[in-house]
Formats: sequence, structure tokens, C-alpha cells
Amino acid sequence: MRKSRNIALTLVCIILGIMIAWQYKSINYNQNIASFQSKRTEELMEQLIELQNTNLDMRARLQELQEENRKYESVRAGDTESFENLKKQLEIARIFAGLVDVKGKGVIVTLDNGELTDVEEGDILDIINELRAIGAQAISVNEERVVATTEVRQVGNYEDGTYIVINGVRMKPPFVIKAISDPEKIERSLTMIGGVVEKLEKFGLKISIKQHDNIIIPKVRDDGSVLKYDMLTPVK
Amino acid sequence: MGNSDRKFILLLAFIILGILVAVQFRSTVFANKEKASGYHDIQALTESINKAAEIGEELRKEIDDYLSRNENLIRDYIKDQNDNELQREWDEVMLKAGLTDVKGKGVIIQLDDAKYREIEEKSWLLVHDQDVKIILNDLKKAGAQALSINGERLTPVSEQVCAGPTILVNQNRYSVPYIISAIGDPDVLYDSLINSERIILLKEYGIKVEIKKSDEIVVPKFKGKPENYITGLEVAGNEKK
Repeated sequence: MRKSRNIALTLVCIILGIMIAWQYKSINYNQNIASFQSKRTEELMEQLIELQNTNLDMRARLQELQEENRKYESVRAGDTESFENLKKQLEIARIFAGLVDVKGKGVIVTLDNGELTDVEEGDILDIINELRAIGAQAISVNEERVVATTEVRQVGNYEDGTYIVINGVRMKPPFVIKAISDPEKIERSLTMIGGVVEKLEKFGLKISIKQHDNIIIPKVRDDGSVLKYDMLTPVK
Repeated sequence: MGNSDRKFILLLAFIILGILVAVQFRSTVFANKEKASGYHDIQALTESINKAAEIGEELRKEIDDYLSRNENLIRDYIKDQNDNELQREWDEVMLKAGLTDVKGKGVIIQLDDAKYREIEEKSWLLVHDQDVKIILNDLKKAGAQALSINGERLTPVSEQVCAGPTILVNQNRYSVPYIISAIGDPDVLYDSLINSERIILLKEYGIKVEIKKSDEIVVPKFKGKPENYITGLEVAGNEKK
């Protein structure tokens, strides 16, 4: 009698133990599901807002185009105003493509090898991309204008030293990167915590940023080595 | 073991049991409630997202339509001028500026996130802006003459920035899959991608990478308004550099 009662008690305690363990797992699981779902909801919310913003931008662009269309529809041959307008469009496209020297406010970023680390192609790419993201309207590296097809290539090895090729031109550090855009904004974005300057300094590179009121950025070299389009057929 | 001891243990066991039942009950009810509302939210959000994407698609089509209509009107106008020099200049500048649709031989590469699996660093399963930037640079090194990501023409000012689960190109957001079109020598472009260190790395992580050569790739023109991208630029005359 006494023995069987003890066994019963042991059994109850074992079952209780299993239940506690089970319950612990179950609660953990429920919490995980809840947090996963709220995270997913957050992500979707973000995605929706992004899409809506893009749609707003596109709607504005469409309106612009419709206005332009009305203007072009009323154009007649020989009309001098339209001719001037066309010339203006041509000039805008030329500046946009980097076919003319330009000047404006901006920054000069100087990037140089550190004592132990050399500048690599990825470092230059990072800076160029960051500058574009901030809205830089013209960029050059050591006087080579950066255009859509500009490559950044690292050549050589550590023993004999590396150099960088941009637009087919070999260059050695220091790299002087010029960008035209709102200087304050560029400097703020580049030097923010976790930004590209902090990252490159952590790698051991030397980097400095100077704001300038009058930066001149040369046009893309027009000797046929940078802008190539012999494989492109315009679609009309 | 005394009788009272045994009773005491039993009492304790039942108290714990009671607490357990109560806690479990609450947790289950809470989870069910969360699940239901979470599920509802997710469904509603997905619907809105689909709708917004549809509207975006429509807008994109209309923009393309107006862009080509305007281009044709300008072309007609130039033709009416009977000015060969102007015609040649216009065609050349638009081609160089990326303001004309172009076609040619080249490669198409598609990047998509890896299938979900349990690994230490979840971000290795995703395609990042850094990857896109490096692959684009590989294509430029291989002599690509025109490039686009998901239909956005690369221009001198085109950025590739990570914005949450999407990337930003020409101020427009795109999510995976990222489709990069490049016009150039297909063999050279293809080899450069196959040997690209970054692509080899991405494949190791299980990122889906598809590379195809093609005889006719169309790279669309820049859809933005070029005027907005030169507001801070002044033409530098014959000043010294």
C-alpha cells in the first residue's frame, strides 16, 4: 500500500515535470509566431509605402510628359520658338551625358593608401555610388569624368603594387574625387556614423573631404575610348 | 515518509498544476488572437500591395507611351526642318545620353534571393545593392555599352542603393528578381560574369543566378527628366581646369 502510493506520487511528479517542459516550449513557440508575424506585417507595411511613393513620383512624371506632349503637338515647322526649345533640349542632354565641362558647388574627396592598406576598386565604387545616392550631378576621379559605362578596375599585385584603371586610364593614389551637389548634404551623408568614410577609415585608408564653391569637372574624353556605341542600334 | 509530508507534496503538485493550466490557457488565447489579427493584417496588406503594384505597372506603361509619342513628335519636327546637321547631332547626343531605346547583342543576368534555410547569417540569403554594384562594374570592365536594371537605364547619375528589401535605381524601387541587361560583345560579357568572383560567391550561398546570352536585347531609355539632374551644373566655358 505504502509502496504503491509512493509510486503514484513519483508518477505524478514525473508527469508534472513533462508538462512544465512541454508548456515552456509551447509558450516559446507561440511568442515566436507572434513576433514573426508582427515583423512580417512591418515589412509589408514598408513595402506598401515604398510602392505608393513610387506611384506618386510616376504620376508627377506622367503629368510632365503630358504637358510636354501638348506643347509638341502645337509645334509647326519653321516656328522659331520650337527651334530654340529643341536646341535647349539638346544642350540639356549634352550636359546630362557629360559631354561638356561643368562647374558648381560641391566637394572634393581625397582617398589615399594607408600605412598598411591600399585603396581597392571597391572603395572607389563605394564612394561613387554614395555620391550618386546623395544626388551628385557630376563626378570625376582624377579628372576622368564618371559616366554610365565608367569602369573601376584594379590591376597588379601586392608585391609590385596595384594601380586602378578608370575609363581606360591608369592611375595611382591619391584619388581625387570631385562631385557637384549640395556640399553640406554630401559631407553630412559621407561622414555619418556607419557611413562610407567611417568604414574606409576603419580599413586604414586616409580620406579627407573638402567643400568647395567652385568645382570644375571636365567632360568625358571624346576620343572614342570611353563612350562607345558601335554595338548599339537605336530603336525608333 | 509521513502522511502529512505526502499530503504536502500532493498539495504542491496541484498548485503547480493549476498555475500551469492558467498560464497555458492565457498563452494559447493570446497566440490565437495575435494569429487571427496578424493573418488579417497580412492579407489586407498583401492585397493593397498588389493593387499598388498594378497601378504602378499602368503608370509605367503610360509614361513609356508618352515618352515615345513625344520623341516621335520631335523627330517629325526635326525632319520637317530639313536640317541634316541638326538631325545627326540630335541622334548622336540622345544616343550618348541614354535618352534613346537601343538594341543589340549582349547578356541578361537575373539575380534572386536564395531559398530560405536555417543558417547563422540570414542576410547571406539575400541579393544586396553591393552585389548589383559589383556585377555592374564587372560588366562595364567587359565593355558593356548600355546597361539597365529592371528596365531602368544606367546613366552617369544612376545610383544603386539598398532600401530595405528593395534596391533604389534612378530613384525607383525594385525588389527581386533583379534583371540586368547589358549590350556588348556577348562572349566577353558572359565570360566576365562566369569568372566574376562575386557571382561565384553568390552561387556558393545559394543565390539564384541565371546568365543568358542573347542576340537581341533592348535597353530602354532613361525615363526621368534630364533637366532635374543638372540643376547644380553650370557650363564651364574656356576657364582653366
